[in-house]
Amino acid sequence: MRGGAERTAFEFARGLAARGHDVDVLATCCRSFEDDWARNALRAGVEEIDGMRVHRYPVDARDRRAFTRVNTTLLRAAGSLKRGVSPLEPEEAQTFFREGIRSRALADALRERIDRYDAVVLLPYLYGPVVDAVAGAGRKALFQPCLHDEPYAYLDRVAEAHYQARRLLFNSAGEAELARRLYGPGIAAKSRVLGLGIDAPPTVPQEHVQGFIPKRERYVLYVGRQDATKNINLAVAAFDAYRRRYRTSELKLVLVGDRSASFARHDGIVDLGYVSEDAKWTLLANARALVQPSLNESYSRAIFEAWLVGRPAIVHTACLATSTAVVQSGGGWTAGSATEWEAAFARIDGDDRDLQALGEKGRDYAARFAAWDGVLERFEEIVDEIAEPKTRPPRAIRISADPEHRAIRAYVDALDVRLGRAGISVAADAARALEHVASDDEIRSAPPGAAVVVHHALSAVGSALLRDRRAPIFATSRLLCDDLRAAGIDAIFLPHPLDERRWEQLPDTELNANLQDGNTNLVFSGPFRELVPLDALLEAFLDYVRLDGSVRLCLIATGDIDEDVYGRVRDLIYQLNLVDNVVLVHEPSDAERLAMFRNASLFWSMGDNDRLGVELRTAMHFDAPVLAYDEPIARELVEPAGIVFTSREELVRVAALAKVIADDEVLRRTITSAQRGLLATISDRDAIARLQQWLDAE
Amino acid sequence: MIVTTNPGIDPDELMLRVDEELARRRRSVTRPPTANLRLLMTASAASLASIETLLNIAEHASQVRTKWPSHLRLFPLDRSARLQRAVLALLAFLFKDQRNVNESLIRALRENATVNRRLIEQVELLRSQVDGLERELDRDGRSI
Repeated sequence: MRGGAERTAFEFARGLAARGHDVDVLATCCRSFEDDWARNALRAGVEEIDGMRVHRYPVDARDRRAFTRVNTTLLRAAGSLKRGVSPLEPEEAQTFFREGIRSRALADALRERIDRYDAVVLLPYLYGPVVDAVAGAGRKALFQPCLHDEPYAYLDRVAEAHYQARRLLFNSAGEAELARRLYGPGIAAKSRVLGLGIDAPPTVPQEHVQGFIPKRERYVLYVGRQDATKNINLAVAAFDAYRRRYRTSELKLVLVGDRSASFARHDGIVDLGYVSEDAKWTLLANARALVQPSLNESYSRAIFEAWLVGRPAIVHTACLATSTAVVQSGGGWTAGSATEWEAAFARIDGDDRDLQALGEKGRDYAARFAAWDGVLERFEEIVDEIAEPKTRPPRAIRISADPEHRAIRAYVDALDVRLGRAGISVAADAARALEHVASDDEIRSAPPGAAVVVHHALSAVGSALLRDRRAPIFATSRLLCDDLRAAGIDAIFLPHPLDERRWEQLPDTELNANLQDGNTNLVFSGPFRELVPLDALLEAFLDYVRLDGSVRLCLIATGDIDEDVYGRVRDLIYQLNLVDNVVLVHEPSDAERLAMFRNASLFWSMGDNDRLGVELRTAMHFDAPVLAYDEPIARELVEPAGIVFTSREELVRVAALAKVIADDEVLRRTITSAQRGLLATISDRDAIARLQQWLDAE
Repeated sequence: MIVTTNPGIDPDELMLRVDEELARRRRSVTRPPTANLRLLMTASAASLASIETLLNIAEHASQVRTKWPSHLRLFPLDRSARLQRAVLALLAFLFKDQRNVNESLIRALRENATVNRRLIEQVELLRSQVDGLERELDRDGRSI
C-alpha cells in the first residue's frame, strides 16, 4: 500500500471490520497517488478484502495540463502563505479541484448509499472527491484530513470542508493544533485526536537488504518518499556536511522509499529504494536513529515505527505534528537549520547509551498512542456521539426579561440559540417559565414556580426571596454564583452562551491578508457606551506607537453603541494622529471580526461593562492574550491566566506592558495556554442538564 | 501595578521588562528606523526561505531520471522496460551539458543565498550591538 493516508484508511477500515463493524470502503479505480489519475488501472466493482467490502468506481477524464499549471502556482506560494488567505484565485482553485482526480460514479454511489451508514469517514483532505463528499455526507461526515502545513491546506474549499464536517478526526495532537491555527477556534469543539495504530513488527528479521547488512553497519535511516517535498534535501545536505567535517566517521545515511532520482551519489549515502515490510523493520531495529526532515507531516508513521523498536528520531523543529510528538515523548531531537541537523548527526554518532535512553522514552509513548485498540475505541465513542438521539417528548420554556435592559436582552438572545441546540424550544405558551432578574423588585414579581436567572448582585432581602423558591436558580457569573451560595442558595453557573458556530467560516479575505503584513495587531472589542475607558485606551495606545510605530489597533464597536461616544472616539483618533495605526469598525460582519480576532497578538481592555465578559472569552478562544483593567469581570476571567493592571493613571507603563506581552511569543503562549485551561472550566453543561431535568419532571 | 495568578508569569520580572521598554521610549525619536529595519529583515528572511524552496525544487527536477514517468504511455515505450531504460540513458547523455550548467547555476544561487543569509545575520548582530550601546548610554543618562 503506497501513501500514508491510503495506508491509514486501509488499516483503519480493516481494524473496524475485525471488531465486528459492517465496513464499506468507497474508492476509485486509480492505483495510487503516483499513477495517472485519469487511468482506471483497477477493475470497477465490489471486492471483499479482510472482512470489508471494497467498492471501486471509475475515475473521469481530466485536463492534466490545466491541473499542473495551477498546482505549480500553488506550490510556488509555499514561502508566502497566510492563514485564511487562499494562495489561488477562485477560478484557479476551481480548476485545481475540477481537474484533479474526479469520479462522478463515486459521488453518486455515496449519495445513494448514505442512508445505510451510521458514519462516513473521509480522508485525506487534498482531493476534490473527498472535500465534496464532506458536504454530501452531512451530519454523518467524520473528516480525517491527515493535514499538512502546505499550500493545499490554505485553499478556501479545504477550510470549508473543515467547517462543514460533523466531527474532525486527527492523527496527532500536533495536527489538531495545526488545524486550529489554520481554520480558527470554531472547529475546536468538534475536533478529536484519534491517534493512529501501528502494527507490531514481524518476528523474522532479515540478514541483509539488497546486499546491505544492517547489523554490521552504523547508520541513520530515512523512511519515506524521496523527493524535495519531504525536505529530504536538508537531511542529505546536513549529512554531507557532517561527513566532510568528520572524515573518519563511519556513519551512513540509508534512504528507503520510492524515488524518481537517487541521492546515492553523495559519500556515505546508501539508497535502497522501495523495500519489503520485513526489510524495513530490520533496518529500523538496527539503525542508530530515524531521520524525518519533512516540514509537512500530519503524523509520520515512520517515527512511531522507530519508537516501537526503541530507536530515537530526529525531526524538523518547524513541523508541528512531528515536533509536538518528539517534545511530548522525549524520544529524540528537533532540529531546524542545516547546522542543527549536522549537530544532531554528531550526537547520533556519539554515545550509544543516550540513544538507548531516548529510544525507550519513544517506545513508552508509542505504546500509549499507537495502539489500534485505543484508536478504534475512541472512534466508536465518536460514532456514538453523532448518533441521532432517541425521540423524546418536546421540551418548551417561556422566557421573560426586561426588554429595556440591553445586556440582558443580548444574553436572552444568545440563550435562545443555546437552548435550541439542547432541544428546548422557546414558546410564549409554554407551561414553565425562565425569568431573568436583575433586582429585588423583579424577583418579587417573578411567578412562584418559575426558574430564575440572576444577572446582578442582590440585597439580603432579594437573596431571602430567592431562598424560598423551589425551581432552579442560575447565575450569570461565577462570582455571583459564589455570593448566592454563601447566602444559602443552590445557584448554578449559566454563563453567557457563545455561538461558536459563527466562527466556522472564512475570515474577510482582504482584511485578513492586510492584517498579516508583519505588523503587530492589538484588538479591543466591546460596547461604546462610556468615553472614559476608550479615551484611556487611545491615550495608552499613543504611548505604544511611540515605542513601535508600526503597531495597529483594531477597535471594534459592538452591542451597545452610543453614536455620540463613537463619533468622539473617531475624532480623538484624528486628534492624536493615529489614523494610520487604528482600524475603527462599527458593528463589523462576522467575517471581519474573525479576521481581527484571529490576527490579534493582544486583547487590550481599559474598562468593564456588562458585555465585556463575552468579548474577553471570545478573545481567549482565539488565543489572544488578555490585558485588562482591574474590575470584577477581569478578576474573574483574566487574573487566573492573563494580566490585570490596577491603575489607569500610569498609561505609559500600561503601554509598555502591552508591548512586552505582544512582542514575546513565549509569554503569549504561557498566557494563552492558561486561558484555554480556564475556558474549559466555563461550561454551561451542568446548568443546561439541570434545566432539562426540571422540564422533564413536569 | 499588575495582578495575575498565572504560575508561569513572574510579575516582578515582567515589570522589570516594562521599565526597560520605558527606558527605550526616551530614545523614541531614533526608534522608527530600527523598527523599519526589523520589518525589512523579516521580509528578507522570508524571501530567502522562498528562494531555497525553489532551489530545492530545481535541484530535484535537474537530477538524472532513473524511472520512466508512469503517465507517459507512448507506444512502444510503454511495452518494454529495456527500451525505457535505453531512452532514459540516451536522454541523460544528450542533456549532460545542460545538466552541468543547471547544477552549476543551482550551486551558485545556493552560495549566493548563503552569503545573503550571513549578511542578514551580521546586520542583526550589528543592530543588537547598537541596542546594547544605546542601553549603556541610557544608563549614563545620555542619548545618541
